[in-house]
Amino acid sequence: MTTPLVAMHDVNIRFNTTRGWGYAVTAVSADVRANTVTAIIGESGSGKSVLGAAVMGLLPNNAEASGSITYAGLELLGLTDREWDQIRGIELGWVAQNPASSLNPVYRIDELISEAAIHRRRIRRRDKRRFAADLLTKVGLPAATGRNYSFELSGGMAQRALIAVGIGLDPPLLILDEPTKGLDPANYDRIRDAIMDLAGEGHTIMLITHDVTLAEQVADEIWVLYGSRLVEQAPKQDFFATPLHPYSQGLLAAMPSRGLHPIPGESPSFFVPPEGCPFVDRCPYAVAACHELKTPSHPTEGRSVLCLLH
Amino acid sequence: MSRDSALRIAAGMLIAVAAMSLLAPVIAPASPIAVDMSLRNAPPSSAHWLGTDTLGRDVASRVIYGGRGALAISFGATLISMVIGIALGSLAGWFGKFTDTAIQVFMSIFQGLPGLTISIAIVGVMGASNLSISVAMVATGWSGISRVVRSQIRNLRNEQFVEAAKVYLPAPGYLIVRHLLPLTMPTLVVLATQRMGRMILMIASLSFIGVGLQPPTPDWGVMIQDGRQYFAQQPWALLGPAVMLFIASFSVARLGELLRDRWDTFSDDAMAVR
Repeated sequence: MTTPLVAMHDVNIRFNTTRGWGYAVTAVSADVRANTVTAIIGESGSGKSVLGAAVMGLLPNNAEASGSITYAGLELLGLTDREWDQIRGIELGWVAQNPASSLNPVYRIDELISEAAIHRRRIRRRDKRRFAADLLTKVGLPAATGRNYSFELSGGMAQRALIAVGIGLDPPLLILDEPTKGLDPANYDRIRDAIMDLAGEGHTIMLITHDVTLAEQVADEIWVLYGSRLVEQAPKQDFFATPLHPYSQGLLAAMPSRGLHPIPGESPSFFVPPEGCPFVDRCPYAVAACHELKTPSHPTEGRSVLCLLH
Repeated sequence: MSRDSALRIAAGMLIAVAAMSLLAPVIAPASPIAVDMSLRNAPPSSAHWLGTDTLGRDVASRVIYGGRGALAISFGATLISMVIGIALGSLAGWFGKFTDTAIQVFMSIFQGLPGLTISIAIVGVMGASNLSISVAMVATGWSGISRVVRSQIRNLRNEQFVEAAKVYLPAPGYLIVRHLLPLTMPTLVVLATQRMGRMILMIASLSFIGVGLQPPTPDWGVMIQDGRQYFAQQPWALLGPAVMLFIASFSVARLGELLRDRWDTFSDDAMAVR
């Protein structure tokens, strides 16, 4: 077992809102191994994007995080802004949601791609087109795209351009937030291929997605978040062969290729602090003790599940 | 008339006025300050297109020279107002909280000042000079600009591309100058032109009441004041500078309005700035 690149221990994140505390991430402990693709899947509001933002130090001001997240041994929670500046973008790459609005409309794509490198890597300004062209080629875009503005690109092209911006400083860890959201099948395939290429080059990738199919295609490791808790963590083959948590089973059964069976009931409220298993109200196997379940069990090596059944 | 041709006409008028002022020594048929007591109050003739004034000075030459002071001062004061307004507005809009409150209070004080009255006071205390007029124009001009810049920066700072840029290049100054201000450019250009149009009129007002540019400097405001008393006998001495003043302030302000309509980036809130 290699040492983890990112190690989370008992991570809790809550938001101070006008409606009271909102619980986004509860008691998450898990590791991301170097040179792997970890897919963090879950529905909207499950806490997966917040978890990604926490690793990037991009939580909003009203968020309160506790526990521990380390990157290559460095504790990330509690870093000062100045300390963040030294690792964000350089060690940790971030590809935000909504590519079209994440690219400044007044600059050409090659300008945006090379901007960080010009300022932090001594790339010369006159080399910016070549620099951008290399990265664009890497994500499967024609080099000429660098001369376009973001609003001239389709959604899929903008997403790939944004990935090119994200890998501009060649960060070892890359966090992709919903990279295939709203894409047609052709663009979807290209993004998937780009992710696999990046993984092949040795980037460690945390892929935040609600797309189970994408996770199945590119990931080595699957984390399932539900109602702010990590309900299951497993190597991909194990997960898709035998999902252990009832929510995971429901999630897979809800996939179009597996019959599109919906899970009855509703997701737990953001404002109720999760005690025990968050799936208890919808779970066909629920027992009283589920309400008290705090810690996951480890049925096999490298696998954890938050369920009394295992 | 289409919007584009209106825009071209306004821009053309402004360029014509600016060219006339810049090239005044070449164009003007006579010296604007040479007195000829033998030829007082002469009607328009081929030698004196707009006649002469009560001191026998060539009115046409004085009209041609008359915009130089006001245009130069209003242009310079607009630039300085923009620099101050953009700097303080950006700081307030970006940092929010205490910085914002402090700057807003400061801004409100200046915003509350009655423009012409405070200009008269400043020029009165400092003595009439190009410098004091410039100070008065900047003092009454920057706060409106900074208010608009502040609200624009406040809106833009939450844009996702700013969040994205923050990840790689976190210095606030860099983010503001490079990622936010370029998007406010249309607004800034419109603000600047409108501000300058207003300043031209204010400077003429100051000169008219005798606290602005001083005789014998040829200035439209001064000339209107001088020509007022003899309007019945020699209307050209008043109408000449009045028409030029109108053309100058109108073309600048109209240019701003037309650019605003064309870019369509302005809110009603921004337009309320005086």
